[in-house]
Amino acid sequence: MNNARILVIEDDKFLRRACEVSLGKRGFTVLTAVDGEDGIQQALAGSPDLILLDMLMPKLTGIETLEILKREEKTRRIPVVIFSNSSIEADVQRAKELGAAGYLVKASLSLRELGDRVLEFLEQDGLKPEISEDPPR
Amino acid sequence: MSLLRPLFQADLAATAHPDGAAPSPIAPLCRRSCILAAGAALAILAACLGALRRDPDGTGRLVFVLGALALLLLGGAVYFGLRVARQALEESRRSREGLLEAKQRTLELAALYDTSRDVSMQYELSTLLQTILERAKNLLSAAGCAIFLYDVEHRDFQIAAEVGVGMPVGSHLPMDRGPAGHVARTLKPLILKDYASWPDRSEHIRKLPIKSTVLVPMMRGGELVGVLGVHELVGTSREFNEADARLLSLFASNAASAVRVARLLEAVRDSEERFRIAARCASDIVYDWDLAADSVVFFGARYDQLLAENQTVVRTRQQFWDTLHPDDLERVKETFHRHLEEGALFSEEYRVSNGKGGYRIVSDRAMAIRNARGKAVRLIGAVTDITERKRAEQMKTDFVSFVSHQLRTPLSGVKWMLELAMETLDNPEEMRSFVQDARTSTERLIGLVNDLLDISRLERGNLKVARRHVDLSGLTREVVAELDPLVKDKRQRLSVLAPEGLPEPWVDPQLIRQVVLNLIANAVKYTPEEGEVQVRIDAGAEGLRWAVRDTGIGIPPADMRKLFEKFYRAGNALAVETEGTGLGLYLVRLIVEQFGGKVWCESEEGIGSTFIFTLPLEAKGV
Repeated sequence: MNNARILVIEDDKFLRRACEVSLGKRGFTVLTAVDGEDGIQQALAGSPDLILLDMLMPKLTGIETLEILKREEKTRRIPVVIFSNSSIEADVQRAKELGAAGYLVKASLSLRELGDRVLEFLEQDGLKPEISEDPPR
Repeated sequence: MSLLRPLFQADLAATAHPDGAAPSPIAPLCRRSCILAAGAALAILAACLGALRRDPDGTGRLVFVLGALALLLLGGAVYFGLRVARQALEESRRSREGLLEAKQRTLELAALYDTSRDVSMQYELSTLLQTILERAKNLLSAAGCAIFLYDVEHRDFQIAAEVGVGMPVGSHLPMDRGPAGHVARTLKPLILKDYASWPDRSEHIRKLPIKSTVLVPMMRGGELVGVLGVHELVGTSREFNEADARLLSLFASNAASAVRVARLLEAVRDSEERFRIAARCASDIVYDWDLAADSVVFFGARYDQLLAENQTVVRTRQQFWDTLHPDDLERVKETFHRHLEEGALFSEEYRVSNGKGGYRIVSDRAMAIRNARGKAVRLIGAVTDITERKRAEQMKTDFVSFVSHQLRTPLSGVKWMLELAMETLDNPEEMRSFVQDARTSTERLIGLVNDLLDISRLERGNLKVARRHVDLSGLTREVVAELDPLVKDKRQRLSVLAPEGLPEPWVDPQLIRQVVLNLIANAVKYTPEEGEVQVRIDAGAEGLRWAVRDTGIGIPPADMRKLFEKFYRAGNALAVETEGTGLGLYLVRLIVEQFGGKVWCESEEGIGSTFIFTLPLEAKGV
């Protein structure tokens, strides 16, 4: 069983629910946060293996949240994948500079593809989680 | 030189009557010599006659012959003596006349010098012309004077200035007629002893009381600047002569130089003035950068918006560089130096300090003025403040990216929910919930698109507005009824307070309905369960006043001002509800303003908010 912990920081409740259900079905333990502040709290408390971080959120933007996550000793080693519907070049660039592991555009992914990409990022990070032979469809 | 003048004048006065005051010493000497010679001749004659009478044949004859010879010699001596004396007298008279003339010339030159010096010190054309007039008139001790300036554009003369006879200053004279025209054609002085009888007089000055006149060309560098005329009035016997013409010609050539310099300076001043006006009218800052002196002069009407209050500001190059944004400095410097070396148009956009800690974005275009060796000596340029344009461009970009994000979010929701529904066909209950979420996302998408369309139409002012008298209380009660399930769900109390018989505003009911719905829905949304929402409508000085008060989370003061801007959401809104688009209140504002009303909010965080809008009642028929 894949027991990696994924933190989804997403302000839209439908997208949050979809990710939670889908990744949960893939066997991940899914934590959710509704904005950047909440996300930082969850990251500190929940020690996730990977963070999916939305960009356009009130209070703290994705970039601001990423800055804090990369500054905090407890969270800075957690790979953060930017998970946005915005594809502003400057944001992509800035996210890379800040050490984001990747940049995913929601609208161009199916939930299945999202699960696949999450696994790839986890492998890249050297965690090599135990993957079930036949992931649920 | 002018110090010499009294000296010469005294001298000239002394030589004014040469016969009386300074008799020649040669004349009495001649007279005495003649008397002595006549005496000697008589004595010789008497002695000879005496000797002849005493001895007519011998010695007496010899003596007589000798005496006759002596008389002849004496006569010759006297004759030649008198001739020499006469020549000497003539010589003396001539040298005295030469001296006199030299003295006269010196005096004239002295006058000319003074006159020319005065003239050359005038740089303002109208003052200069007046000075020339007075000086020329005084130089020839005449009654009047006029300056006819050659008008290159019209190819004729203009009476530029005159004194003494009342010529029509400003009017034009033809080149082919009149004394000035004659001088212009011949380029030689013209003396008219009796102007009235001269056949070629010009129309304009035919009837003027001019007796005699002298006109000379004003030439400079082989170019005709004008004609200078000096005249005597009818009733005087003064006639001008060659000497007058000569003196006036000398003066006229100096005057011509002065006129040319003054005209050039005037043209420069005109051109500079035009430049300044142009710079002021163009909403630009114009600068003139003296590269050798290392000073930049900025001037222009909108300078105050950029750097300083002054209209004209001088900076050194370094001071100028210091005003640039550090991130732009190297790039601008490089382009600048490349332009000075290579000469293409300098064109850059950069940020410049506004002196208050902020920056303005400017577009700067400039060209260098080069010397004969091609070295750049000055840089003339225009700076345009493009901050607003850049801001608008940025807003457009932000809008597009924000809207695409806002559209993609519910679209992703629909897509993913349907994907989940497909995967849960075996679990109808779960599947139904995913489909329900997909539907809600779709509705959000439709609402968002509708809001965007309305905003776009309202912003462009081409939304079709169907006005009629609207019963605002009735409309509000309808909306409240519509929201009833939601209110009941949250166990809130929602009431409408409105007196009977309120006046009816002249508005579009569909649009106002949207305003009322947005404001009440917001109040319900941000008020916790069992809270209270109250709508109150009444008529006041500003027209109809509609207000919704809630006991919700309130709005932080920092957010109040921005609340009605596009895409703005209060920082604490998310804690309650995360689906807002940031368009609702902006749309409310656009609609209310469309009908001449105002919208604002009063709030205290943690206690509640009141959103108020007004609608003018006199808007009927607008």
